[in-house]
Amino acid sequence: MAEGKLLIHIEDVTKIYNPGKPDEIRALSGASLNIGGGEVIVLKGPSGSGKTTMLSLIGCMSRPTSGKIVVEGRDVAKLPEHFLTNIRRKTFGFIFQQFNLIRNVSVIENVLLPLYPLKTGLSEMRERGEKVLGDLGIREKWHLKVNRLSGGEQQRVAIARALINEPDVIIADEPTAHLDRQLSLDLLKILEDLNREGKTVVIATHDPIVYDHPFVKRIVEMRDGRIQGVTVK
Amino acid sequence: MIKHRFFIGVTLLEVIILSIFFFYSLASVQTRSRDEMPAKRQLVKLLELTDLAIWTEARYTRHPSQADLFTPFQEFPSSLEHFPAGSIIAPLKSAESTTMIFGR
Amino acid sequence: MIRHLKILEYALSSLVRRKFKNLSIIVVYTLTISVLASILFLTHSLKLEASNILLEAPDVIVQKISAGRHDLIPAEYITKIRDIPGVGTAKPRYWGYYYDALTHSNYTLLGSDSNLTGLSLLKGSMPSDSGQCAIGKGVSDVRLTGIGREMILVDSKNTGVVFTIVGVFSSESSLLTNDLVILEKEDLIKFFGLKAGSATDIAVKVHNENEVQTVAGKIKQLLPDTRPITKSEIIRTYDTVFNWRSGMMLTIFSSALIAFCILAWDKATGISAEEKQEIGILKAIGWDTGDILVLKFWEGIVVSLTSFLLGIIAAFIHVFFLGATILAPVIKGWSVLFPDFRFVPYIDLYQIFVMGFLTIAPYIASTVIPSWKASVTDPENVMRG
Ligand SMILES: Nc1ncnc2c1ncn2[C@@H]1O[C@H](COP(=O)(O)OP(=O)(O)O)[C@@H](O)[C@H]1O
Ligand SMILES: [Mg+2]
Repeated sequence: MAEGKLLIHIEDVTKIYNPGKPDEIRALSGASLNIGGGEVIVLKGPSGSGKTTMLSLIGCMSRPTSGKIVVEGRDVAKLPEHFLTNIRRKTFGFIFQQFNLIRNVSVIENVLLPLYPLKTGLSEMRERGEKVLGDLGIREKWHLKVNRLSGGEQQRVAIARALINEPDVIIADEPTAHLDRQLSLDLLKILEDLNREGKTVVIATHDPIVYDHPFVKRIVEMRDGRIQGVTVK
Repeated sequence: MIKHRFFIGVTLLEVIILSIFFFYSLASVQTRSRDEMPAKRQLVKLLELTDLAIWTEARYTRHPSQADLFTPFQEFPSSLEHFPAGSIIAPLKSAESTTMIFGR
Repeated sequence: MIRHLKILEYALSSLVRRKFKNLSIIVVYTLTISVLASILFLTHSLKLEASNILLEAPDVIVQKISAGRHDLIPAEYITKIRDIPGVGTAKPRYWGYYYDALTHSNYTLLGSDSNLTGLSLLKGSMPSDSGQCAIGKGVSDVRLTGIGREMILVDSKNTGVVFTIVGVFSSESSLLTNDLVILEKEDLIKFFGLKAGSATDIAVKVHNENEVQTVAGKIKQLLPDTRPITKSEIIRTYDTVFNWRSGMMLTIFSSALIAFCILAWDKATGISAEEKQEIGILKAIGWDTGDILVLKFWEGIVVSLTSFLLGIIAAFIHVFFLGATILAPVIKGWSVLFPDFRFVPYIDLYQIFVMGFLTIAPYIASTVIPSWKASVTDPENVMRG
């Protein structure tokens, strides 16, 4: 499905942390990448190679130091925060490496978190939450505090939260880092299903289970903040 | 998902209680000024009272309006107050119209 | 609207998470507010009561001052004062203090004319004959005595004098009469051994309300060794009850302020790594800086508004239904005779609003401002944990 319409266009992007200071770090230099709708793309590379940085730029979590990132036809680098938030809300669902759930809050509330600032009514929110949890097979846990769940279940809560605002793009940063082999395969199954529904999936990983999986169509190899090469399967 | 209703409910309840208190106080002030005030004023008038009988520990706390400034401080105007009530009410600072006659 | 309700919903979930901490904040905060509000209620009620009752106080009281102290006033001053134009009546007052070694309490002894009748707050009658007395509720309680019984007081010659109690003031009048012992005027003069032809002070009635100040000035001019005290001064005295500068207020307010500062400091500095992380997560999943500030605003409102309302309710009950039982021992100081308070619930809404503003606003500020810094940074950091 790599031939779907262009969703994200990254052109010669550089990201420098702490510019001009002694601890200046060039996390990304001159990276260019196009992501089409419905694609499954993996950023592969050793730790520190700039994968997370790349994901945060794609997901409008931060702005590039130089270069151009076009999401939905708009240059992200120049938009004010409010618009970035808006794009993030509508377009992206994030699955973080450390699940980043809010401790001591129930499963359902964690899942619905992205909807609180929106106009969606409470009952509709509730319905959507239960549906997503049902799809992921953890519906009966909705009232538990998230820290009572196992790692795999927490991962599912995180996925449910990423899906709740029905995003076009799922961004997952090292999603298998805290999972065993079986759970990793389950997760990939979920991502595969989501992709089949038409969602674009962008994964950063250095786990062979992920990048060797048949549903991954394109592998972007990264090293020292540069894109080394692209493999299309 | 009903925590906010609970909170709003509790807050409304508190506000209602306060409103009831407020209207109670209005009514109570009215009835009590009608029922009790004349008798109290009569006492003040007939007994020629000048002060409230709250603090009976010292002259200047029993009759703060009658105390001269020296009383609370005895002979030394900046000596430390040693009656607790003295920190609740200060003796009268009178604004007398004084005429001074200078003689040689 | 729906957005605010939902953010409120999450704010509550978020507060419930730190149940213990937030409950203790609410408890401490409620206590502080109820103490402050109790004092304000009590003071306001006392002030209004005083100014309402004392409206009937003598227009001018004339004291003689001798060597900086209150002294007995010679009777011939009365005639001089009567001659001042505008003066209606000028009558001597006879009164003094009595320390009762038996009960360690102080009484105020007051001499009265024997023809006083029709006092509705007196059970029994006023002394109409030598050897009789009427006493306040406090005195009758502390002496465990009542109408028809006898009371022995030690006079200036150190001899015990027996008085028959013919009247006791009702408790409704305690605020005025609690420590009074009323004797016949001649009895009182004899009891204290007052010099013949002298009185404690002189009560002056002025024909025209507006001339009181002028008359007082004239008295001072005519009799330079006196000190005229006008009615408005008497009433004004009670404005200083619990005024802001007095020690008690200072202590209470400074401790409340310190408690508050500690709280604010704790919040301002203590926005913990966990809280920062949470703000980051919220931003990452699509919350705006504004949304987060709204969240913090509601968190602040929930805690401070609840505490404020509960504190005011508690203070109202405490002062107006329970007679300020908790505060009374503090106010009482070293007084042995102390009236039961039956405060009239005068309420000053303005005072309550000011207090609400002064307690709610800073708390919200101390909740919102520290989070503001955390919420304007890019959410990207949460991706690295
Ligand atoms: N906020 C930051 N400040 C300074 N340096 C950073 C920051 N975030 C990441 N880096 C650095 O940028 C480089 C790329 O990091 P990252 O994108 O997290 O790599 P990866 O996800 O591939 O492990 C690393 O050297 C990292 O130390
Ligand atoms: Mg990483």
